[in-house]
Amino acid sequence: MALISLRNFGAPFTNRVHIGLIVFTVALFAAFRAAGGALSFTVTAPRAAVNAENSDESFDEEAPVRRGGLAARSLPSSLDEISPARELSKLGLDSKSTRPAPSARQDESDSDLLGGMVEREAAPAKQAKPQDDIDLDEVERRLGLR
Amino acid sequence: MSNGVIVIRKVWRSEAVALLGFVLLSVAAVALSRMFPALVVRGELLQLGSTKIRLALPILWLVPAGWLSMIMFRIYNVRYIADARGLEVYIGLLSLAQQITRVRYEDVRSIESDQTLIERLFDVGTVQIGTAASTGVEMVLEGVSAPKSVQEFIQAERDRRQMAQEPVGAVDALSQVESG
Repeated sequence: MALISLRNFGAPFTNRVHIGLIVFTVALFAAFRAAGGALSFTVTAPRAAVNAENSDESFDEEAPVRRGGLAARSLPSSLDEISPARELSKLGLDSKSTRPAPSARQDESDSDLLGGMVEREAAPAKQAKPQDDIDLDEVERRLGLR
Repeated sequence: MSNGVIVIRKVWRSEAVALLGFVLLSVAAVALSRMFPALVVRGELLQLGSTKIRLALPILWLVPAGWLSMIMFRIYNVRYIADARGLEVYIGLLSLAQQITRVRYEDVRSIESDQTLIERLFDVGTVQIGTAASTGVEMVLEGVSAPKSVQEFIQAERDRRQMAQEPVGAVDALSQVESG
């Protein structure tokens, strides 16, 4: 007789004692689930992060904004409402004092200007690099997914 | 019955009261777990490679689980077998120590069947078998279905063999074989 046979699958149901075992085991599992018990498998590979991004239900892009209180602030509705002088004064800076004199600007050599640009361009790259090194768990935690 | 062997199993009905307790304990465990969520322990069970297995375990659920395990142990730990030679009782099928008692039909001296009120409702009971070798009960078949039928079966087998040992009984048996 073959090992895989329909008779073997039906064998437990031919005996009343075994049927009782099946019924009460099912009842025990139902009680486990009804009491709040669960067994979940979570894949911690990067695939899990991709799944979290694709999930519309779990990802809420407004959550960090709400948590930071940005939604409560009054934001300008258009660019016309933004005044550079007012923004600088909010930061404690005077627009006239921070602007260098035209003569001073003429004394700057091209290399200084280029060097400054190179440094300015390199600086964001240096700042962006550590962000790439942030663990995916940290990103998920910041986004409020965990 | 297979190959001339009758397996008499202990039935679930014999544990009717304990099963009622299991149902009540399950309901209580579910209700209390929902009432007090702190009784559900959540955490990581183990990690297999990149897969984390998390478990939410209701502590109170362990009570009906243990209760049902005890009932299952009592049912599947014993087995009674009747064959052409006599009766065999296996006790401890799920235990480390196993006890096997064997009694021949011709050695059976007394057969008693005991049933409580609830066991009579469910048609289950206990059959006690005594032999000439011991003053007390040699073998106890607990929680068998239709204990009266089991008792009559053992009595019939004993009588048939005792009559076969007697000269007159042997002649009767021979005449029955010839007529059959």
